[in-house]
Amino acid sequence: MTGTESHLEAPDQPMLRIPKSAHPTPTDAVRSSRRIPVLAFAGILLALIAVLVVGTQALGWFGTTGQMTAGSGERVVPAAGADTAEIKGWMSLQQVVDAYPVSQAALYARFAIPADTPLETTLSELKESGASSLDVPTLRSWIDDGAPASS
Amino acid sequence: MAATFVPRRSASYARRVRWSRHGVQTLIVGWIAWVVWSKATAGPGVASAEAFCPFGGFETAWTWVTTGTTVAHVHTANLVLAGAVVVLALVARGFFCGWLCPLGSIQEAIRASAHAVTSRAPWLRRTGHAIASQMPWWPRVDHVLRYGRYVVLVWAVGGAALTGVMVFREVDPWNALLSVAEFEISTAFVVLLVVLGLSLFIDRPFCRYACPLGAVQGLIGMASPVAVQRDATACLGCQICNNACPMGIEVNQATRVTDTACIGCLECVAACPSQDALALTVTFPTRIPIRTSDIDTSDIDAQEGAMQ
Repeated sequence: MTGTESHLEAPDQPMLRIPKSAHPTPTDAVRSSRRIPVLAFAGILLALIAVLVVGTQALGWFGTTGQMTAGSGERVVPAAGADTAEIKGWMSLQQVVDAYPVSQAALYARFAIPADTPLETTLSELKESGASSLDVPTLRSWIDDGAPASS
Repeated sequence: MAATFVPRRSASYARRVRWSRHGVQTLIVGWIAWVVWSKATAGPGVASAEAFCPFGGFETAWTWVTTGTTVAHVHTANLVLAGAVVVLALVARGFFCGWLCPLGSIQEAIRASAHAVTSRAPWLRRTGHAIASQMPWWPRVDHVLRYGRYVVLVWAVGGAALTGVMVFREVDPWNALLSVAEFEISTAFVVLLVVLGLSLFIDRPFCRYACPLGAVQGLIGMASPVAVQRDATACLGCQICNNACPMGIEVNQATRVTDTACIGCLECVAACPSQDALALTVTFPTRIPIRTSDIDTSDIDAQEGAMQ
């Protein structure tokens, strides 16, 4: 049943009478269309997203942290001379010093890191503690610009 | 021939649509809360809830294409979800905003709470109406402010592409909400408070005026064949659909609701008392004329007059 049919006789289902005072805005010509069951449509879209997420997870494309992991599940630390774009917040100060041409003393001095900060401290921990001005983008730029490799 | 009586939409239909959407929203918000809790208690190495924001994928897209890396705080999950949002927008316009976005859900919940309070306090409702009546200029301001999200989009994506830093992150209320456990008073936290405060008075204020992800979906969604469609011959002209729309779209003026602000929540469809007036439809390339203003209704009007 569509709205284009009239129902002047007693109907079988609950009906609404369009009041004479009603003046709905006329609808224009539209392309041929078909109704979609709302809940089925929503269900299909949600399933589509779930398949996409699970599929990319299975393929290893759905990284949710900056950590790259090897097949063994070990964190992959950038090799010496690696691109500074691979510096991530999970890396420790020691790993930065080992992988990039920067000395510990210069690193501590540039970012005002307290001298008693252990080298095992991660960049994220350092930033969250507020003990240093260090942040990853600045660190990358500093190394790219030629950070001192020895103090 | 125009209808004088049209089928009434069953109340259970509205309940099913609304509860399905609210159920999905609740699940997503609960899951994000769990991710935030895990991150806060387990520390580095655990997935950040930021990794599940599709907009990060759009922010880093240029950097990723040109350098193969992502900007800080963005991971490949953001890129995957950005791709998913593009697909969703092409298929169903703003479905992500209406059904999945946790920040949108929280704004909706706050607005619903405000409605619940005012419905029990008539003096509050009267005060609200009195204030609204003193602001006849508001619709024009609202109209202009709606362009704000496109400005934010250009700034956020352009800024990230040019500087390699997520410039929007500093004012992103979503980021502030994820960091709320840290009790850090930042610019983003202030923006979050403003957004949540405005949600008491305006439906989805961040979505309307500032969300760059909504802007992206609105633009991509223009190519979608799916939209809510109105049939004037079954329309009561009651404007309940307009009042139900959280994005303030004038549904009763449209043939197909193709407004870029549409978030696909289907509140208009659920609220419509006429079964055939509003429906979610997919269009096909062929055109058929159904201009209702051309339909001769004189015989029906005559019969109706005789019955009275």
